[in-house]
Amino acid sequence: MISKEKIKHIAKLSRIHLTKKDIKKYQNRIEEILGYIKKIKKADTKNSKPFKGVVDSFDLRKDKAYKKEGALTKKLVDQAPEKKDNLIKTKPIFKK
Amino acid sequence: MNIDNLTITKAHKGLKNKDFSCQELIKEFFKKIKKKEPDINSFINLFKDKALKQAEKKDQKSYKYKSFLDGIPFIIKDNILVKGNLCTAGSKMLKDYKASYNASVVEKLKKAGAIILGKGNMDEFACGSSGETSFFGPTKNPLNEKKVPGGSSSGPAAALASHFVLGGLGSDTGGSIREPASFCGVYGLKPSYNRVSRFGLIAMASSLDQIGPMALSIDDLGIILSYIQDKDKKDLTSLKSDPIDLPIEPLKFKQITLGVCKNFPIKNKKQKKIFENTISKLKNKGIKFVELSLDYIKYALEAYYILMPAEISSNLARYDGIKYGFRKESKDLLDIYKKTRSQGFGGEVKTRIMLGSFILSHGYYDKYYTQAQKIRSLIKKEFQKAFSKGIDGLILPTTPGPAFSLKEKTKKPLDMYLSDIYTVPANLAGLPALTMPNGQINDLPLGLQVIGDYFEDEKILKIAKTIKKII
Repeated sequence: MISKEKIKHIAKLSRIHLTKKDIKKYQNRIEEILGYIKKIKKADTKNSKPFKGVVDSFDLRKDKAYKKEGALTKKLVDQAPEKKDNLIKTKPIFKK
Repeated sequence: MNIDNLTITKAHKGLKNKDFSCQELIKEFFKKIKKKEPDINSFINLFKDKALKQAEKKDQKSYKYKSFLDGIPFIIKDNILVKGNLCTAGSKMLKDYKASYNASVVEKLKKAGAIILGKGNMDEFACGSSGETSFFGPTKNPLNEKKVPGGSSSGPAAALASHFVLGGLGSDTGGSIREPASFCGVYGLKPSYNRVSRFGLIAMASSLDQIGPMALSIDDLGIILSYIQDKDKKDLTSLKSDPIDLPIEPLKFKQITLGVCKNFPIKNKKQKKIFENTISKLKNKGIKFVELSLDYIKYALEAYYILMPAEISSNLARYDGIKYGFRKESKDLLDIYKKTRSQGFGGEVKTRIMLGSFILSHGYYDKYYTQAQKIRSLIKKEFQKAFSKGIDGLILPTTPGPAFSLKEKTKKPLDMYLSDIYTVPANLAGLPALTMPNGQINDLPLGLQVIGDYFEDEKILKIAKTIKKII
């Protein structure tokens, strides 16, 4: 059983606003799914290590800047819902 | 010109021999789209003018067709970026988002001369097995419009079955190419993980996502794969791939040993009979069979529905209403995030994000996430062991039954998830897997799935070609 409080908590972690009706709806859905996936606890995994990838490693490249500085800035900033002088604009993060 | 009988292979011949012009070919497909697309809803966007202009260039006298894909009409699932065009991922969140670059696979198709007719409808952010969670409305199954086409690559599968295009690109995280291909009676291949670049694919669950071809024949799958595969410097997880010999040649019957999984039962009786009949036919021709006992595969779906939402919750955190996409204005920053995500995402996506947040949260991480990752290792090992014993491929159904009715499972997430039971093991182990039509129940097609060893994509195409000769 997953409580309403728990649903509110994970909605907050997920940055999703839920109405009272939503809370009930997602409580039902998530509870049903958890009821199913909890079966994995029956699997004997004591001799297994967590999966790391299909192949063990890749050749990584050096981290270097793309072409010349600012070449993509306008293209990327143009996608933002709110912008000012080639910068993405947001509401203040810290309260005064 | 009857486009209903065309495949990529046949159309290429026709274009090369000048049996028809490229404009005639493309116009014929758009005629069909105009007539039937309103009932099917397989496209989110169509690029008619651009497509016809491309075709016109190929009709100049001196033009030489440079590849199998030159002049071939395609649909691209709408989570794969095509520069300068909208790319929505089937979501309100990205309904106005314009791609500023091409996905590497699109770059490769364009270089080969393929003509993209439009972007394919899909379940929102590839979250769904029926094509019904799209913000742009559900896609219908062209074989029976009361049925779902399968998902999440619903648009490409339905467009191929409607003969709107000759080739498609989909993406497969837990069956999203194979399930809709099976429901619509077409062919689909999920390549080995790392075989095809994911650069420019809108991420769902990165450790499972793979772009792959959808088509109307086995040869066409091979043709498309041969153009999109190989190492890409923009995706460091992509690996060098050997070229594929075309056309795909069948193998000698006696050379093939196939595995069947005995502890993975088929519950649908009619389907079981069809599957067993297929095995008898193949045995009669001399194909050898080995019964495999895979102990951990029975936990594959549970493990998948833990790992996939966990990755979704982190991959979809980027949609916050600030950098790009939909935004809902509100009083402060936190509230913008919450309202944007609440209104921009649909119910299934929100369910998975929250489920993922729960799984990854303090106190639950080891119980769910670590345990599922351990199971994933064991499933990979089980497959490795089976292939090391000399089997060439493993066969099983693609889905538990044919296409179901629209709205039948939308309110029951668990029933919907169970549609993926036969497809998720290949994603967890990173193996190549294809689906080909095999039999029908109530006039609706069933799919036969062939899973191969890692990077043996060409071999499973050859196995499929051999099976096709027999069934």
